[in-house]
Amino acid sequence: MNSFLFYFILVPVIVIALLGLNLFFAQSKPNEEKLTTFECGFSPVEQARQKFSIHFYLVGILFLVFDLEVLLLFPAAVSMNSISQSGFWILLFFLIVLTVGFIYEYSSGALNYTNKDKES
Amino acid sequence: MLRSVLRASAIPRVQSRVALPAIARSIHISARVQAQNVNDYRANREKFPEDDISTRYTEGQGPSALDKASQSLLLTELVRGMWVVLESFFRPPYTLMYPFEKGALSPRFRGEHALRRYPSGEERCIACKLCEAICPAQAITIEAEPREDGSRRTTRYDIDMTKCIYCGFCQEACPVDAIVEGPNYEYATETHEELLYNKEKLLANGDKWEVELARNLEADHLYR
Amino acid sequence: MTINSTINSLLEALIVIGPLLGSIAYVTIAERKIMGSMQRRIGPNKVGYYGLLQAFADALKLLVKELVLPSNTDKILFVLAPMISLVCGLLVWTLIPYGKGLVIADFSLGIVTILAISSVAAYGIILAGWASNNKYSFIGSLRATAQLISYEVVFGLIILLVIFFVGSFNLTTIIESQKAIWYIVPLFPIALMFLIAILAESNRAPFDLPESESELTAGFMTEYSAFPFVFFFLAEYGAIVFLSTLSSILFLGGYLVPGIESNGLMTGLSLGFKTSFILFLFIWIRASFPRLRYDQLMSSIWSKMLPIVIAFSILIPCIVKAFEIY
Repeated sequence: MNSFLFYFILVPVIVIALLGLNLFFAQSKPNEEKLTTFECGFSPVEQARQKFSIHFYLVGILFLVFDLEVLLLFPAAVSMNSISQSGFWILLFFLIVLTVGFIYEYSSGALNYTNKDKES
Repeated sequence: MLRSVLRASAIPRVQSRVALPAIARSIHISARVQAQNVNDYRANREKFPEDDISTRYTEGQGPSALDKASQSLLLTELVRGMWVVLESFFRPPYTLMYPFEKGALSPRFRGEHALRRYPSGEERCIACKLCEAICPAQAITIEAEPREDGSRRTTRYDIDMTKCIYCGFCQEACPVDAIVEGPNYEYATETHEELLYNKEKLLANGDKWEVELARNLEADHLYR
Repeated sequence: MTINSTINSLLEALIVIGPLLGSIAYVTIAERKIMGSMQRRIGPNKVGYYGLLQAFADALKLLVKELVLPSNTDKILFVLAPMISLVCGLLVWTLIPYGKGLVIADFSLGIVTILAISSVAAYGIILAGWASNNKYSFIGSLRATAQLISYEVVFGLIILLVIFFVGSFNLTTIIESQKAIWYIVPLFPIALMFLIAILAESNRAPFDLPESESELTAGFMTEYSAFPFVFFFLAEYGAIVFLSTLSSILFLGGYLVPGIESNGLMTGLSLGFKTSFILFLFIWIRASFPRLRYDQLMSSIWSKMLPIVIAFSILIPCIVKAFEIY
């Protein structure tokens, strides 16, 4: 445990030391042109923080559902030898409910990335 | 047995191959043609008729659902592609270590320009200005007047190497093989001015590369 | 006595970090040499014998490069993001058993800790994209995050399937339970899918959309230079090495040598060989396949891999329960 603590402290220290080493060795001659935001071939025209596709948000929501599922299944996985028959059936019921939910998501077109009609 | 009978009746087989379902056809193509050339494929088809996916699927209705499922689940197409890559992993590289090794040049290679001389030392150029006229980039500038002995020679022969597009028209136009493009391609300079060649520079090039230039002209003379 | 144990702990930590950074350096050289051979080129061969010092020459070059902080970035987050990535990338190595008992932190919740730390690493990418204030970085980080969390689901579920067999989160127990047979044999399709999932988790070709240079310059790394860039680079290759190690632990029996009761050097070599094999597979796949389109990437995870894995996650507990495997 002690060496784990050491590792935990040592890693950030090494990272910061490497950054300091870079700052120490490298020259720094900033100018306006160098500090502008990169844009291919011309000066940046508008804010970078724009609207983005709703699908990214959708993926985030779906991830929440399925990651929670995985989270709830982990205890079941380690206790497979100690749970009774009814516990096992509850686990299966949980999985089947999730599958039904997944089928609903799939058929509602939430996972369809190319269909332009569904977008609004 | 049945398959050999099918193969013997060539015409219905060709027709049925056209009517192959798209998926069977794609599997059939990627199965063999990708890895080997078409001739190998034909030879193998004669040798191992059981292996031939095209005949297998013309008899039935295409690959079974189990075939398709196992192929997509076990990534057989991808593994086949990776095998092709692994084959070239064990073959020698094509790399030419350029400054130390150089590739072969064709006798028609069009590199740096040179003005040639006759073996007597007399310069070939007779200032006909055909090269200047034909030059599409107008990179050549010639001025000429008669010399003391009455022969017509250039007083000025400049090539702007930064304008030149290395089309080779000047050497095609030249009636006396005076201006030629030689095999030298390593004449990069650090300034623009060094690439504005004058007559002295071109003649010096001709003297320096005469052996190679003569050999290239000799090698190519039948086709001119 | 306490000083002795302190030095001992420090040495243990350094013994993990040092070879780790070295292995990351050599993975980059291996990638360039192997990709070169597969494309019938030579690859780097000038620095050191056979180009073996190329990575160190690159690191030295980047050490003396200017650290550019673009004027409209969030300065603190901009510097913090690569550090988060690298720290998370290095911390997971405490949990890897290099031999029986050769592990810095032998947690009973080892694999859950790994999942947790690798999830935090996604923050580095999000913060980098947000802090850069650049369209390419922003879109790149969005893509990277969507891809990471999508494949995290499959990744987690596949680990869960292995846990169903083992009945423990401890990595040493997972390895020791493969004495009879490596899990790649009973779980072969799952192992293939795990390979795909770790390819996508580490943003590797053919899933390298977050940094597809033809569309997004360098993705979320566009504005980075000098050592912050090196941090991202190290984190990325560290993740590749780590995920290879993890998959060799989950499916190839980790440090076990088949048929021999081994300890000491043999166990480390065994783990090293298996990891190297999977690393070679990574590079081989990168040399073989073109990049996927973004909708293909997302549909391949959500509507192809996820249904299969869910089906297996119903099948495997049934098998385990029916045969009373414990």
